[in-house]
Amino acid sequence: MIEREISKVSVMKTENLTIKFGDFTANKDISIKFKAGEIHAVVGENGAGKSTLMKMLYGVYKPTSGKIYLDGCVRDITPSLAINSGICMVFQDFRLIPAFTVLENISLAMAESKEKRSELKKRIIEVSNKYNIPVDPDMYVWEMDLGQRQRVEILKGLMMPTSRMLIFDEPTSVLTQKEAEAFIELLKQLREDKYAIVLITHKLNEVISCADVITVLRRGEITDCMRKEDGFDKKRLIAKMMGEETAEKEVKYSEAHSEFNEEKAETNFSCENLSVIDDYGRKIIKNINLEIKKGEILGVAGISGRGQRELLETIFGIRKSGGGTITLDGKDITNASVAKRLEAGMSLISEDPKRDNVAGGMTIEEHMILGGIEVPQKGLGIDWESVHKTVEASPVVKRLGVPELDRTMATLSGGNIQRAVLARAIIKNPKLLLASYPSRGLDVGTVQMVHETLLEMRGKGESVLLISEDLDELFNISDRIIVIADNRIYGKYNPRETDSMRIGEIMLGGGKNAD
Amino acid sequence: MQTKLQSIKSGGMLTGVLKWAGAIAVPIAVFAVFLLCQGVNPIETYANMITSTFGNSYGRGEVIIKSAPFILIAAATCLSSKAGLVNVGGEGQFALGALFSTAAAMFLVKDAPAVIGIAVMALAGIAGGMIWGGIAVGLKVKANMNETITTVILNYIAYELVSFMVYGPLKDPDSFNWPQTPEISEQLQLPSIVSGVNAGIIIAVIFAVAVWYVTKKTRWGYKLKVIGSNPLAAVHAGYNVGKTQVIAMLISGGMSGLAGMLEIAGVEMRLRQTTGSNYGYLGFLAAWMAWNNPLAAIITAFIMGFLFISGNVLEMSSGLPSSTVRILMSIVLLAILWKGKGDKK
Repeated sequence: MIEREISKVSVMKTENLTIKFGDFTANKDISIKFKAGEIHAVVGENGAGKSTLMKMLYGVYKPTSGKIYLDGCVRDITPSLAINSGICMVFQDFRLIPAFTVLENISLAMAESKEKRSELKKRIIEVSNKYNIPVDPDMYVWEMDLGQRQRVEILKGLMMPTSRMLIFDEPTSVLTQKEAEAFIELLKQLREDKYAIVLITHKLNEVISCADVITVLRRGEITDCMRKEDGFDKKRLIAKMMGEETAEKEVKYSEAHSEFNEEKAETNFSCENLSVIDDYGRKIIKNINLEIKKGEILGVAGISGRGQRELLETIFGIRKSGGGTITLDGKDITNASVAKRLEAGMSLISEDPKRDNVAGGMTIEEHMILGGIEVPQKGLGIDWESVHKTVEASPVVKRLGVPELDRTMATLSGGNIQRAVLARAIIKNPKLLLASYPSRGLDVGTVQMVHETLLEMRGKGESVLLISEDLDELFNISDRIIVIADNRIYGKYNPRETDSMRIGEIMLGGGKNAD
Repeated sequence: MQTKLQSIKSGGMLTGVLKWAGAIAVPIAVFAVFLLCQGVNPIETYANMITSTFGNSYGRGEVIIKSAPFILIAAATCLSSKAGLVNVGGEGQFALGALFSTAAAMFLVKDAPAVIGIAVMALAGIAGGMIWGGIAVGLKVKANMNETITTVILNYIAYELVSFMVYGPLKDPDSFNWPQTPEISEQLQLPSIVSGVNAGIIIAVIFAVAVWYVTKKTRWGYKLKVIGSNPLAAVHAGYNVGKTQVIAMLISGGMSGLAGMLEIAGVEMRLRQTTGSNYGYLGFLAAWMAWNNPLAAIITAFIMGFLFISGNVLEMSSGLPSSTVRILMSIVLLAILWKGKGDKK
C-alpha cells in the first residue's frame, strides 16, 4: 500500500528552473520529475549544464528563478535539507578523506547517528553484501583506486537511514567495463528497492540498457525526453545531444588501421625486464619486456588498480623502477631524469590531471610550456608572444576545443581541463605519448576528436601507450593490445584477431586464460 | 597577472577604493573605541602618533630606518612563499646575519678599509641567514619536515645562540657587564645619507623590486610559481622541486641575514640580545598582509615601521604601555587580510 503511494508522487520535481552566472545562462527553464523506483538518466555533452542542474537539486547552487518541489511541496533546498530528506549525491570528485579508513569516512558522514563503530562496521558489511559492493571497512581511502573509492561513496549514501534518492555524477567514468556492468546491476537492484535514481552521464550504451527515462540537455536546455515504453533511439539521442551536424561525423577506425605492419615498423620504445613498484614497495608488475614501434598505438587493458598508473609513472621516470632497462628511439634512458625524458620526446597525460598536471591559478596558455612545448627564451624571461603564436597556430588546440587561452585552470570544468592537458601533451609532437584515460570525462564529440588526434599522431610515426577502461576504445584505435593481470603483462594481441570477451577473460583470469 | 587585471576591471575602481578605505578606517575606529575605554582621547593620540613620526625630520627618519629591515624580510618571505615555502624564520635568519656580521667586524675586518670591511660584513651576514634558512629547507627536502615549524624553532635557537655569544665569547670587556658586543669600528658604520637615514632603505627597496621582477618575469620565477601552486605538476614537468626550493630558501635566508647586517652596520653598531627583536615576525606579517606581493609589501612594511615607531609615542603621551600598539597592528592586519579575502573571490 505505502509503496504504491510513494511511487505516485515524484520525490523531486522542478519547474522552469533557470540559473545564471553573470551573463552566462547555465540552465534555462528546466522542468523535470524524479520518481521513486525509476532510473532517470540526464545526458548531454560537457558543459551542457548537467552538473549545474544536479548541484541545484542538492542545494549547492541557488536557482536564479524557478521552483524545486520536494514531495510535492516547494522547498528552498540547502545541502543539509537535501541530506536530511534522504537525497544523496555521489560526486564526480569524491568527498572522502584519504587519510581515514572506509569505516572512519562513513562514520564521519553519519556523525549525528551516534552509532557504535562496531555496529556501523557490521552494517557496512551487511549493506555491501546485500548490494554486492565489495569494500573492506578497514582499508585506508588513499590505498584505493578510483573505482574502489566510488564504491565507498555509494555505500556512504546507502548507509544513510533516510536515503531514498541517489544522484550519480558520471559514475562509470572511473570504472572498467566489468565494474561498470556490475554498477548497472546495482542500479537495477536499487530501483527494485524503490530508490529514485538520477544518473548523469554521456555513455549512451549504458543509459539505454538501464534507464526508464532519458532527459537530454544541450546548452543548458532540455532538448528531448524519452521514456523506455516508447523505445530509445540512439541516433536521435546523439543528434539531440550534439546538434544534427556533428552527430554525422564518425571516425573511420577500420581504414586507419590497414597500414600498420608490425614487422616492418621501426622500434621506438622498448623495455627489458622492467619491474614496476607500487607505493608500498611491492613489485606490482614484474619483468616487462615490451616494444612499441613507430606509428603504433599500444592499448593497455586491465582491471583498474593493477599497476596501470605505476607503469606509466615508471616509464616517465617519476617512479623508481624495480630493475630493468628502458630505451627510447635508440637511447638508453633507464637512469634519465624526468626533464631528460621530456626532452627526449616523452609526454605523459596523468590519470588525474587535476592532481598531477595543473596549477590552479595559472592560465591555459601558461600550462602549454609546463612539460609541453619548449620554452621560448627572451632574456631572462619567457617569450609569451611566441608561445601564444605557437598555441594559436596549433591544429590540435583547435580540434580539441580548448577554451580561451587566458582562462585560469581553476575556473574550468573537468572536461575542459582534460582538453587543455591533452593539448599540452600532444602539441609538442612527442615521440612517445603515455596516455592515461585520455577520453575520460569528455563527451562523444570530443572523444572522437581525441581518437582522430591519436590516429593522426600514429600517422606521423609517433607512438602512443594508451591506458583505457573502455574496451571499445582500445579495440577501435589500438594497433596492438596488452593486458595487465596478476602482476604480469600478457600480449601483445592483435585486436583484429581477438575479441573483447577474450581480453576480458585474461583481465580477470590472468595466466590460466592466456595461451 | 592577467587575472588580476581582469578582477580590477570587473570589480570597478570605486569598490576597490572603498574597500581600501574600509580596511584603513575600520581598525582606526576599533582602536579608538579601545582607547576611549582606557580613558584616553583617541583623536589626540592619533594626532600625536602622526605628528611625532611624520611631523619632523627625526620622526620621518626613524620610520624609514625601521621600515628598511621589515621591507627586506618581507621581500624575502615573499620569495620563499612563491616556491610554496612558509618561511617564518626571518627572525632567526636576521639574528644569524647580525651575529655573523658582528663577528666578522670584530675579528676579520676590524681595521680594514670601509669598502672591503663593509662588503665582508655583508657577505658574512648573508652567509649567516643562508645557513639558518638552509637548515630549515634541508630538513624539509631531505627529511620531509614542515618548514613552518622548523623555521619557528630555529628562531628560538638563534635567539639563544645570540644570547650565548653576547654574554660570552663576543662580550665587550668594557661594557660594565652589559650583555653586548663592543661597537664596530667607525669606518665600518654605514654613513647617514639624510637625517640619520642610511643606505639600508635603498637596498631594501631594490631587493623588493628585484624579487618582484624575478618572480614575475623570469623563467625561474615561472618555475617557482608552478612549484608553489602544485609541486606534483612541477614534478611532472621535469622540474627539480627540491633543488629549486633550496635555492629559493637560501636566497630568502640570505636577504634576512643581510637585513641583520644592515641593522648592525647602520643602526645599532653593536649586537645586543634585543637586536632586531620581533623584526622577523613583523616582516613576515607585512608579506602576508600584501598577499606575498613584494611591491605591495614595501607599503605594508612601511605601515609596520610607522606603527612600531608611533608605539613609543603612545607610551609617552597617553600613559599606555608601548606594546599597546600591537593591538592596533593586529587589527590592521586582520582588516587587510579581510580585504584581500574579498579580492580573491
